[in-house]
Amino acid sequence: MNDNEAIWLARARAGDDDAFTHIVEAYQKPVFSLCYRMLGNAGDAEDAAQEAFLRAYRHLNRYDPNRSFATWLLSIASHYCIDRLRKKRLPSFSIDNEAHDWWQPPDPGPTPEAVMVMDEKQLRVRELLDVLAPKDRAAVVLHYWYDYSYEEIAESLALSESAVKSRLYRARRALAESWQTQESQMEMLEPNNAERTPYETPAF
Amino acid sequence: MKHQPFENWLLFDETLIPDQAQALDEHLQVCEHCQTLRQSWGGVAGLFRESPDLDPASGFADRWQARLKQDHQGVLASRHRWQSWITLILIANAVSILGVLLGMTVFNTFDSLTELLLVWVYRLTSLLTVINIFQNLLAIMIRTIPGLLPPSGWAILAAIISAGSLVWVLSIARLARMPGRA
Repeated sequence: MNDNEAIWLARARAGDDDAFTHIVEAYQKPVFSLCYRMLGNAGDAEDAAQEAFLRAYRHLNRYDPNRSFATWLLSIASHYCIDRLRKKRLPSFSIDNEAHDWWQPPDPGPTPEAVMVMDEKQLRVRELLDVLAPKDRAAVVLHYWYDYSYEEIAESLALSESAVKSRLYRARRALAESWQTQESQMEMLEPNNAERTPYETPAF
Repeated sequence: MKHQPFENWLLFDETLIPDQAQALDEHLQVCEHCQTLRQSWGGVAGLFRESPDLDPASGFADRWQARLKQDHQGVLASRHRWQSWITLILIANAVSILGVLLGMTVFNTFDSLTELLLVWVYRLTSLLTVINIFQNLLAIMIRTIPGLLPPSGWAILAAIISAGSLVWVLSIARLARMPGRA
């Protein structure tokens, strides 16, 4: 935690809303990204991220300054997303792919082709994560996108380290199987496209 | 063909000792199942690495501030609602207790319902008698007062009262127009 962050947190604890807004600005990307990976669409991710910040603000007096603020905040966001997935059983994949309006690729602005490739990747990631149970998904996201150690994941998700290892093992197997399914589906589609000559398209 | 412990070695994210690594390599050369598993997991891990963090739509912090404001208002409204309910419940309880106490006092004072009714009839009769006395007094005053002054005296008295009223109204109007009293 840097000095500025400590000052903002101290001010926010004293009831300064503007100070906490600095924290929101600093952490909006990781929190939103985590919620997006967990819930699978930008609208729900925005709502969940806002709610996570609100909960963090309300319970700021429970935050232990000896711990990492990022870990505490992402833990709140993870738990909120897990609860939301369990309660509502949200389908995290939709055909209309409404996320495109919300997702903003990182600077510098990529070409349309790059955006399309990136969107396809995001879509594939979403489909893969969709096969996991909420808590397994949170463990995978924290491990692979935030480089969290087993210990940090255990702390964030209120699990034992062995439970985290076991969940990640189970998740990797499920992800590998889902990948195989995706690959075989793509292979089934590709030969038809390759064999078809231009004049064999339905228009002719 | 047995796939254990090779599957575990492939999927547990832990460093293998040289003997284990060699055994895994030898197994992978002959086992298509474990080869596919390794390739698939490698593909997933690669995709995760290539998939960057996502940005929320611009103005996220502003929207959060708006939400916080809304939350504060909601908390205040909820608190006011609770306070109103608690006040209402306290008032209702106080009224109930007073009603019960009054009822007990009344029924302790009078032995029977007939006695109670008689007392109320007596009080009502007394009240009507008092009203009748005041009515008679008023009638006497109306008959005697006009004779106390001649008509010119009444006219002068009316003129004095009118002039006094006019002065009072004008004073009030003037005070109202003074600067700093808007």
